[in-house]
Amino acid sequence: MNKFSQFAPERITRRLLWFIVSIITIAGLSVTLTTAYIQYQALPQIVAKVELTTINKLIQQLTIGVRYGFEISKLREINYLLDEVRRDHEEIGYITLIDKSGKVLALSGNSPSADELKTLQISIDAFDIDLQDKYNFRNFGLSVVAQNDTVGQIYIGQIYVGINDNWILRLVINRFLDVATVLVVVGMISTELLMLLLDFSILAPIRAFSDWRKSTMSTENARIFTQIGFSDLRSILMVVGNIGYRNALSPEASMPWDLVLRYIRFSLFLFIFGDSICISFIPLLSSLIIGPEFGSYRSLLLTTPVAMYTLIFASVQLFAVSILYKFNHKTLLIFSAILSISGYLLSATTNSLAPFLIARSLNGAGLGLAFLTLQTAILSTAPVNKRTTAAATFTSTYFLGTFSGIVIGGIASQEIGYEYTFILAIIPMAVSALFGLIFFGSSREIKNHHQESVTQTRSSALIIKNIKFSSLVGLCAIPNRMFNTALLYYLAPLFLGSVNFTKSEIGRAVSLYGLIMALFAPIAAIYVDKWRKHELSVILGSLICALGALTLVVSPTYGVIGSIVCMGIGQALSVPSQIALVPEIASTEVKLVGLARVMSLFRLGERLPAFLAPLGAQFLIGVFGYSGAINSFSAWLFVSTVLLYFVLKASHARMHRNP
Amino acid sequence: MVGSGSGIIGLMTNLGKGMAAETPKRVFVVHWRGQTTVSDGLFEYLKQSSIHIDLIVRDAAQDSERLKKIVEEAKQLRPDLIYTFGTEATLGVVGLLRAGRVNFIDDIPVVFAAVGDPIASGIVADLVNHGRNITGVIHLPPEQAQLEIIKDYGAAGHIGVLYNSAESYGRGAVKEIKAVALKSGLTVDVESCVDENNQPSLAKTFEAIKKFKQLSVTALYLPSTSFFIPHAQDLNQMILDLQLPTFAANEQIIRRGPALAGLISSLDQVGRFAGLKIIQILSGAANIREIPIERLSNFVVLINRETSEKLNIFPTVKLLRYADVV
Repeated sequence: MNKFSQFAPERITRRLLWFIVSIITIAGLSVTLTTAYIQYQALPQIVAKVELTTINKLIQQLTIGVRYGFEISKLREINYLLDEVRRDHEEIGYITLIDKSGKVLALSGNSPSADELKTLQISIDAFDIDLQDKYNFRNFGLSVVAQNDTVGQIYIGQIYVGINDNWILRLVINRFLDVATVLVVVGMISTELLMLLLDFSILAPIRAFSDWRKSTMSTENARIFTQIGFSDLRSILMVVGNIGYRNALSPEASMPWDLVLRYIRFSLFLFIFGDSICISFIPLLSSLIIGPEFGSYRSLLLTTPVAMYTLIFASVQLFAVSILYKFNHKTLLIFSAILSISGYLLSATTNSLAPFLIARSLNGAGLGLAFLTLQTAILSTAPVNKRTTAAATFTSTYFLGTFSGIVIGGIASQEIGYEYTFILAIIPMAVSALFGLIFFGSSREIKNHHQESVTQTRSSALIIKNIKFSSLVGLCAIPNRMFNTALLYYLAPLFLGSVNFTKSEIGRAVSLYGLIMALFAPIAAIYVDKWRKHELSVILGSLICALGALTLVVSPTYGVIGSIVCMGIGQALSVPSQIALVPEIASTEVKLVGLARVMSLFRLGERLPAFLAPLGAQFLIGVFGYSGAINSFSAWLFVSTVLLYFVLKASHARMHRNP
Repeated sequence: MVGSGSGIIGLMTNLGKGMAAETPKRVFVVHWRGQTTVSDGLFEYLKQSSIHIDLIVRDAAQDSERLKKIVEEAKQLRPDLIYTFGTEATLGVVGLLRAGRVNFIDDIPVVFAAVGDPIASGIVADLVNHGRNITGVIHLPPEQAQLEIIKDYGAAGHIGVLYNSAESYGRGAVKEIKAVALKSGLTVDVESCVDENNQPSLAKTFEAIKKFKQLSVTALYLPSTSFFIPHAQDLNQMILDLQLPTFAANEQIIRRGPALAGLISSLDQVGRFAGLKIIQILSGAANIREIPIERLSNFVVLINRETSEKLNIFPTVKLLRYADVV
């Protein structure tokens, strides 16, 4: 008996899970690293062979004039031709054309000197280049010969080409990171699935059996217990399996809340993952759809896809209370998925602005509805004393989904193009809805009739009159959200795209925010809750977020990434604390109109103005450029945070005077 | 074979389809300075069509009086369509847009080729909605494109334009060049080769070129005019003596030497394009008033290597990628 009661199935399943995940991770990373190393060794030769075609085309163009009878040394702007080739082929570090006397005719890039180049072998076999690792490049040289109709073959000189080692390294690292990212995301999804599987087949049945055994034996249980006996293992498993099966199909009915939470969390993860897939490339795609034919309105229109998505997402919060009371969670999740999938199908099939805006609106509506549904489902599943944990679960899952979606979206758009990436995004959405359909029961939000007596308008007015609440929204939540939307959804993708970052690199850079939030927010929340330092956390987090823009001074390109990282750290501190502060600073209003309405107003106030962020960003880009635009948002957040600090301080001083 | 004089030629290739039984269509051809490559292209195109066409060919030999007689003859013969080559021949047949109709023809469809600027010449007011019983093909590229070639040679700093102000095309071209220069910040000086008798003269031409040299122009540009063609050798000598980088819109001026480069239309293609319009009208496939006046969409950069060598001015390798070198 004692032995059985000491048996902890949770601990065993966790250990088993960690063991499996560790083995998969180590094996995956080993394979990926080995592949990367082999690629690094083999790529220069492969790249050089590809470049051979480019260089042969270049030689053809260089020799056209000679074929017509011009002397090559007299032709103008050969350098521009070489520059043009290098512009289209980043991997080429230099191209140098040397005439037969050894004089440099033209060069592009950081070429070694003519004397150094002369030490290089000229490749005889055009299909098997002699690649020489010297002067920080992988070099090869070819003879330049022109065919003249009257004279025949004319030897002109040699052309030397250097493959950029850094480019090769960057390519290999990029590919490694792409594969590693895919492994991490697949690993996360697999872990969630494994956990569900273990819950489904081991944990839930054992718990159920244990409860059944511990309970006062009903007549029926006693009969079965007597009938099978403990020695009959097969019969025990049959009973256990039966209970486990019933539990898994309707988890909310009979499973503990923490296991039910996992089902909701998995749906949330898949939905957010699907929705985030296109975040990093929407601004780039918008600039393709909204071409120069839109004239002077173009720069304004470029912001509309992101603005529309954000506006519709926020607008759904307006109807939060009525929607949540009318339908159950399962219906709402499925409807959200239908909206988002329709949006993605439309996005994948259109090249016109109007349908694209409709598609983005559908996606905004889908996400808004799913966000509301799954957040309330998680909060209402958890017992009241475990709401902070439930909120942390929601936050970490939301940002893990965002991180995974953005990185996978970046890689997918790079490899398969925008259209198929939209189609790809439909899969997790559909699985999320299917998961909800099968496993969500009839859970829903229940109306509290006492609280309903206060009308929505009256309650809103009442809440807004609370200076601390209004200050928290106006001086913290709004500037934080505006900066977040402008930087992650608009400025960073566009800026990094303009400095030749690949789509997967942009995806990785933008996803850093989600990764940091997912990892840091729950830990920060635990300590902030423990020390009861929500106000300090809000102020400190906002300042870190604002001051992140200082990294732009060091390097504009990497400063953007620095700003994203600082935003992740800062908002991991401030965002959960903002939510925790709301019931604290609006305790009277919560008693009068309920927490749901207060939170709904907070969310609405925070998110509704966010649609203006891309418009503001575009305007600021026009005036100050990208760095200036980021600095402007950060300066606004900084000033607002300082003001909030004084408002809160004044409020505390008043409370001390009039306790 | 069609000569530069007059004659009637029957063009019909599709006898097997029973077209021979139909009444042949009569096309009255009016040349201004004999048969050119444009007309070669046209005749070749018409020959390959399925319509039986009888060509009545007349040459004005650059004589306005002779042209008037040809117009009278056309009025009497009442052909199905009149084809004209060049601005002078076209104006001689259809007259200015606002002129009276007595001495001209407006009740027979006219298709022209090798008119540089039909609007500046006063033939039509609009290339698409022209509203006249006329259509045709412009053989010259836009002047802006010509200036791009000069820019590519790095010689567009100060351009001297020598034109024939007695021709409406020349006046139109200068107007266009000035507008483009104003937009792109180029300096342009303009001189005419026309003397006090309103006739183009070689003396006046030489005088203008010397003036340009004194002004230290970086390039000399010759808009299209038939006047320069017979004097190409004389111009060549002078330009080489003065070492003046010269560009031209006329193919012959480039081929014979004075100009080192220019943007030209394929004259054979111009003729074929005019032939297409003729077939559209004769077959009833389109109403002439709805057929726009067009230019070719593709042009050729023509470079004279010998002139380049003599002037010691060479093209860029990029220009050579799509240029023809003679």
